[in-house]
Amino acid sequence: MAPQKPNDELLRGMLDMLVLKALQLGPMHGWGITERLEQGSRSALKIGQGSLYPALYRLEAQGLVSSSWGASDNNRRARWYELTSSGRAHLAAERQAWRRLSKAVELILAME
Amino acid sequence: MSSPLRSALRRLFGSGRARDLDSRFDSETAFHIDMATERNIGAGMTPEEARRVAQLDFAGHGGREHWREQARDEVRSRFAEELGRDIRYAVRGLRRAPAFTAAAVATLALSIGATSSIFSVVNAALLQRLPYPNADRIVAVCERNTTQAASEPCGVGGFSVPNYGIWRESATSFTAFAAFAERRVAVIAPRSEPISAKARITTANLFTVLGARPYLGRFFTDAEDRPGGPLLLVVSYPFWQQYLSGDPSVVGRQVLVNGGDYTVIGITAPRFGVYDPVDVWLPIRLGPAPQGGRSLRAMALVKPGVTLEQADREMRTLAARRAQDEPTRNSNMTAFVMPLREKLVGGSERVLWTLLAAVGFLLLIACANVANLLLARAGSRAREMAVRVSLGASPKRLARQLLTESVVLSLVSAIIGLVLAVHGTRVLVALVPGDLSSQMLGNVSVDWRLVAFTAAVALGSGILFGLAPALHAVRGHTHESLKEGGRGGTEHSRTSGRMRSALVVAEMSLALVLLAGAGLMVRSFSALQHVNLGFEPQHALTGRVSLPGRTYRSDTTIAAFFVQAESQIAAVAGVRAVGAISYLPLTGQRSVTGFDLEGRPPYPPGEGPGGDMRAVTPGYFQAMAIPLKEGRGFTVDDGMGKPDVAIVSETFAHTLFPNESAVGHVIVYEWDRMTHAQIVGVVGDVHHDGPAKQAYMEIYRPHAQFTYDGMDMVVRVNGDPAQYVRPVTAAIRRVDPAIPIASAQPLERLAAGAVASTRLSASLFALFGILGLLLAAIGIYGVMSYTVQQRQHEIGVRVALGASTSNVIRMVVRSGATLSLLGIAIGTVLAFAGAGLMQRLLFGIPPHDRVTFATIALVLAAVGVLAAYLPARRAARVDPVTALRS
Repeated sequence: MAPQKPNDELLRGMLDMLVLKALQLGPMHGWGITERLEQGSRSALKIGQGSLYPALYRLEAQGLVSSSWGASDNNRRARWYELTSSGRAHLAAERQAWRRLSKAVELILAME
Repeated sequence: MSSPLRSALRRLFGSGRARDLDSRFDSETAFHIDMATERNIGAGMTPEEARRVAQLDFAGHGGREHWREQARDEVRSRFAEELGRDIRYAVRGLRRAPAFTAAAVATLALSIGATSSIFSVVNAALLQRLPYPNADRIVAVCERNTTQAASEPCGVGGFSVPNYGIWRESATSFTAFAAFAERRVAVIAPRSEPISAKARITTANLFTVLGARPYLGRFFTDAEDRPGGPLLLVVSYPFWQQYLSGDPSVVGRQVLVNGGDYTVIGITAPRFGVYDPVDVWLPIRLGPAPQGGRSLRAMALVKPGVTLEQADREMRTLAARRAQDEPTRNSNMTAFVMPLREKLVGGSERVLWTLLAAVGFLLLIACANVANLLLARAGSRAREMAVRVSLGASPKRLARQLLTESVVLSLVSAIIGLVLAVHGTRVLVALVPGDLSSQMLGNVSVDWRLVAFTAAVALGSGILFGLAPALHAVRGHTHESLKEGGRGGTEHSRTSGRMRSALVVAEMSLALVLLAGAGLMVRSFSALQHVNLGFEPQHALTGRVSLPGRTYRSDTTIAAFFVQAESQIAAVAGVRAVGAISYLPLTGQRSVTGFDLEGRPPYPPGEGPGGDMRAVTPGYFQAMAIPLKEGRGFTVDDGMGKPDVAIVSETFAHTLFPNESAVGHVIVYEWDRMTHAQIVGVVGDVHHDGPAKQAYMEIYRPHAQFTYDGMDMVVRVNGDPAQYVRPVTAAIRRVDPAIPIASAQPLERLAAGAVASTRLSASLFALFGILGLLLAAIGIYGVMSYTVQQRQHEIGVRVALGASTSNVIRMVVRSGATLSLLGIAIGTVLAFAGAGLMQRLLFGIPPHDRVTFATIALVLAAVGVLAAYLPARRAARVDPVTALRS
């Protein structure tokens, strides 16, 4: 496998954080998460829908989310994801780190 | 495969789950695309278009397979991949900091190398199985006089021949009970020079006791081992290789042994004698009721199911019964058993364990030092870590990366250390005293236990010292680290500072313990070296000459041989004096005999003081340069048929005749009331058992009146004694061409051998002590440099406010000295508590010797101050303007 480029890590980290945030609102299936992210960003952010699934699998392997089969609103079989307690804690930490980073970046960009 | 194991493996590698995972992915993404399609239809697209757009939105042009792969990878190779990434990251990181890496690897590799070499010697001497099956059940059976202090727990010889005959029948604890005598014999193979061979004249069942199998041929049987049985010879593998050119056809042929024709019937296995080297074995041919004195050694194989304690109890009971049945020879005697291993390696055990402990301390210091290095490195990388955390790396992952880095570091060091260990072991074996090293030479090797030990040490230390920085990372003081400029003084750097100071204190105290041990050993060694052995070891050659009883049947012919040999040797140019003694000092041989003094009441049997009796030729005292204190020495007139005479040592004279001269008194042997030997002279004491042992009560008898067929020759010469081996051998050949000279060596080497094990432990201890001191100094230096760097700002302020250079230096040195002193104080307490354990290794100084402890403490304090002074001076040169601005 090719060495991880830093901005890969950045993007992954961001996607993970957004997915966790979407799930903080309540358990949801993959499609529902896509919709939540689109609505949340007022359609400004279009994530590659395919990349959502590797992210979910990754978060599950890290123990930040858990999943099980269930029924969708229209009564179809869907995989439901849910935040675990460590996922909740992780989200809080990520969120804090993100605030610091964005503030720092904003300050730099605002330099005269 | 059991299912818990399978699920554990799955969790690690996820391999079994690939198909499950794929179907799950397909099913849930199908749902996803269906839902997207429905939404698109709701937005007014045709069903076909809606599905196409949904698929494109989902997967781009790469197709669903791409994401399926990705998803699978996320789960499946997570473990292996992260490990690989961590290792690559660690290697890259280490390569980027060459100075750090070199320091850490050198420190660890050296100490792992030292630990492993000591371990492999300890392993060979103490842990490895003896090369005998059932080694745990083989015991030496010994007799001992209960009234005398046991100088040797299970002596050389001294087992009663008749007692052996009786006990062999009556003892029930043993599967086999063997006895043997040891002496040198002259072996003459076809077309070869006479060879002096170490022979064991033994009962046939010795091979049963040791569980030996012949390499070639066979061993002799009980039926052959009887009076009038055939003359048979078993040869050791090394002897066969060296003197019989390893020729298999030797088996079945005859060689001359002490003038008799012996048939070679077998060769022992190559490793058979590594712990207990013997050249040849001959049948002892004892009768059914054997007669004789205490000239045997005994070994037995304890029956399965019988404990060593039970066997020991039985032997003591049997000995007590013998003392009742035949008190003249057996009162005050007891018998006991001793595990063979203890007999073979007993003496060096304590030295080896102590060295292992010392090297363990060294390893601890090294670990503390590397931990310090890693902490410093973690400090300088705190910002890097903080950035990585904010970029989404979890603290756990960072911790694991740091841990991986230290494990990689220690594994690399372990490999280098192992290479060092292989060489170090060889050096060490060469330093080990002769007896032990000849036993171990073929035996010290790098085996799986050494590899396991090194790996364990490496991994253990890697995890141990990797943990400190890793803990920091997990605690995640990210925001502080990001904020932390050059100024320092945050919570993070304070805890790390405390940790580093604690490590330095630990290092200093461990170094003190090591150095105290080294100091005590070195002083013992120098005390040993200054002991006057009682003779002059320089410029003298020694060698053993043993005459075969077949050709030298009478005392007269034996005495005549030595008279002629001495006169031939004396004629060699450069020879100043020549003499001979039954057993040289420092060879571990002794024959204690009970005696009475004429005109004084006899001692009750077995309760006399006992004197060590040796036979000497008239030239002996001069050849050894042993001073005559009173009376006269022996002359050629003190022969057979002349009045019996004796010379005694000063200790003998002072102990038994404190207020009068010993000369003129008469010694009567307990076992030979016919001999009345008059004391004609007193000579200086000789430390026969080595410089650390007390001089004994010695009785010297003239060889012509008390004949031994084997004698140690001493030739005092001008110049290098080694040069005289050839002419002296030739001189003996001129008297009898069939007589070899054995173990010819300078007397000096014998003397050096007597202090060799102390020399070995002293020099190794000194080496470890100095290494420990060096490492501790580096530790202090490192911490002080780091502190100075952290406090640059503060120091700048102080200088700006008018602090002088010496103020700054004093301030920094004081904080360094505080750490040193704390370490020294703790170390002194530890060393003081532990010194008692070394008591038995020491000579001439008490284990709590104040001078040693004070000197060590002072040296350590001086080094500590120096190590703090260098960074202090650098700090004092700080330009306040630069410091404040940075």
